[in-house]
Amino acid sequence: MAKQQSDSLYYPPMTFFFLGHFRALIYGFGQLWRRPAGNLMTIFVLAIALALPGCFFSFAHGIKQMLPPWQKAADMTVYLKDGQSADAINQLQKTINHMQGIASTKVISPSQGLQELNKEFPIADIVKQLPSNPLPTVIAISPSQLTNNLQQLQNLNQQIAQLPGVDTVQMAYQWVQQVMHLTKVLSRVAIIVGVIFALAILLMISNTIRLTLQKDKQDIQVFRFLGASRATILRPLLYQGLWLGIFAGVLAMIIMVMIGLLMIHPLNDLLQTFQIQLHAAIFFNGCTLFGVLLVSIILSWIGTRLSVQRAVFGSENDCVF
Amino acid sequence: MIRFQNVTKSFEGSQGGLSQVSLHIRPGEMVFVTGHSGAGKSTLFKLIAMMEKPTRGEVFLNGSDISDLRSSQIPSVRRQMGLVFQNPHLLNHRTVLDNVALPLYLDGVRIEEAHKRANAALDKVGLHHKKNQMPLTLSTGEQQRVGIARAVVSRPAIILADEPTGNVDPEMSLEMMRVFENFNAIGTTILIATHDLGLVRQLGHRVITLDHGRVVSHG
Repeated sequence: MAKQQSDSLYYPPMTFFFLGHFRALIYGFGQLWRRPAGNLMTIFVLAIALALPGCFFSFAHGIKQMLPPWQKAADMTVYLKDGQSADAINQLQKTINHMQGIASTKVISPSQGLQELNKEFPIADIVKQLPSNPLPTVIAISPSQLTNNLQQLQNLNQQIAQLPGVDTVQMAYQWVQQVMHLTKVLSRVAIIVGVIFALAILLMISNTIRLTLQKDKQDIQVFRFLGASRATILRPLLYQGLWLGIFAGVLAMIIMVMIGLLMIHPLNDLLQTFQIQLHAAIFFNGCTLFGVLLVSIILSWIGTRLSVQRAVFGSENDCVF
Repeated sequence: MIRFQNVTKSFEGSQGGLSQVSLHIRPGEMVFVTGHSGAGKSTLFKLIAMMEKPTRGEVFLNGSDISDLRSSQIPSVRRQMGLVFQNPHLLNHRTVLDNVALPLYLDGVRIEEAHKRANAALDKVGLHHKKNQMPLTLSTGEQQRVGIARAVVSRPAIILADEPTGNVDPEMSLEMMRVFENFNAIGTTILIATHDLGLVRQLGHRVITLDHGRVVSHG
């Protein structure tokens, strides 16, 4: 029998398309609502699996941002032995200037040193009481940007220390480099934990949707027998996965903020020993938090697709008659 | 309308297949399929509904071969059929009205129109007063009738019904057959599998009898 495709009786194709998505969105939420206890547990587990690597990443990224710039951290101070002649000092500066990996050098005489010291600490009166200026001559060195790892800097340090007339060489903020390496380790841990947990999340979502499929097998059969298209059947399941992802992501954001609040004081104490001012923003960084939500949604989507692909359309031969 | 051409369907190590079946059901016919269990009735229905593919031979629907359709092509062809199952296969968490209107929702019919038609279909099977109930609150016979209302609601060209009166008392059986006859009267092709030979004789339509997967009479 020919169907009356009258406009007034049927939705326009676009309206029908969006209506289908809207219905699936609501239906997918309803599916979660129908089994609140089980789904809530799944959401919690997913959120924890998301929040942990999220926190590692957040800390590593945040600490890196709070460190002084690398160039400044790599600066070296060369203390010269007492009693060097001006010529010897000039010669030494030239030698250092010609070494590989040096951007610039500057000689700071004991009197210039005293002036700079006076700016930071009012000790001029104490120094005046001494018979002579106790500060050594210093050559301040800025390594070039090419010299960008700790090993190279240490080699440079050793080379300079062996030059005649040099007493000691100090890197301005050696600890910065150590902290940077620590953050690298933390970043790497975040990536490894993240990949492992992402895999776990995929499996978990797949399993949750697979259980839904088993429970709803009869309903899905009904839809198939009534001639529902593949997309129509898949849609509510995909939206159910999407809802799981959204809820787990939001919960993960909350957990991350809570961990941040718990960590902020002890971490602040630790960082103050390095004279770093802690910014609360590293724990409440919008980009990272929304990144976690986005990752959660994407993983849920992929996990759902993986589980429905095979299960729903494995075969047409289900027995009904 | 439906044509089987030397169709064989064999299942490994089990009964219920078909062997060299050729038959033709013309548009607008109402046909009963009878036979003992395992004779191949269900297989015949599954082949028409594209739930199975024939081992050999072809099945034609409206002149086109449906025996080897891709799974993506099946839904649109299936929406031209109304299927009534022995087990009514209803969605238990949707109201009776929603269950009946489901094929229309899938077709993109506006919700008001879908409800109007679903109400009319429920009226025909005598269950209009239960439209807002959930399926599990109905008796088995009533659920079966909801299944029939759902099969006819989209005014399909073909209705396939497998033991639609299996769980219904004789009086109601006859009434349900009358519903099918009413649809047949407006041109719908109807194929019904049943054990109830008394009812079949009483109604006097064409009967196809199957035995061990072969057509033994189709007079």
